[in-house]
Amino acid sequence: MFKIVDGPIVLHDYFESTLDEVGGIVTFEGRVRDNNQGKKVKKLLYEAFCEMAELEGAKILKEAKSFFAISKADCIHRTGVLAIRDLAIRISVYAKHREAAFLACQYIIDQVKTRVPIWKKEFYIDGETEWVKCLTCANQGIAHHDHFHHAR
Amino acid sequence: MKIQIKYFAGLREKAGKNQEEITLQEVCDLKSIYLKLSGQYHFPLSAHEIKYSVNNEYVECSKIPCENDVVVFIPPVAGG
Repeated sequence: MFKIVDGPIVLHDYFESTLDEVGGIVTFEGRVRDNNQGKKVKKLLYEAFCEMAELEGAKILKEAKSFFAISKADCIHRTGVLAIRDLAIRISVYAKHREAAFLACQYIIDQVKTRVPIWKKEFYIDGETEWVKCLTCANQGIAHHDHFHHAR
Repeated sequence: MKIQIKYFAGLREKAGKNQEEITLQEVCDLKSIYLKLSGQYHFPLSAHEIKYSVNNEYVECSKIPCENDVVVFIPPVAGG
């Protein structure tokens, strides 16, 4: 399940308990930090093209399940205005063994950052604002991470 | 031929609107459409900095849209 929510991520609304076959759960949380590239950040605005973001996100989770030995994976991304320390994204990957769960979780966050149409505007304490460019995406393109799963 | 354009992030701010319907007088690809609109709205990103989607799928900039397609110019993404 990949979902975009316009408001705080309430974990118990979206993340189930584990499964009998699962021996390891790897969770990643992306939080708002107070700095980026030397600038002090006051808050963020996340904007998404929701219909496409959820379709692209679902593809990423499906890929993760086909590339790695995992039972399931869920991802929630928040939009709207976020304060420092707020939860922006949460990924949970459930697997029989931990290695696949770690690898799949890494794959999912890398792909989300590269492909899913979500944008981030930073508001700095000096009053300036800026739409952030994903440097990985800008420099290396959507296909950047293909080597990751081909090697496994 | 009419198509729908949706704008997001910095492009939305420059266009001053979330979406619009435009009429194409001649056959043209997505990159040409972006360049034409960029001339009108002074978008902050060049054609090679953005990606293109039609009906919620990534497509090449050389794609020629069809009647009633929903076109989105995708600025560099920054989720996560």
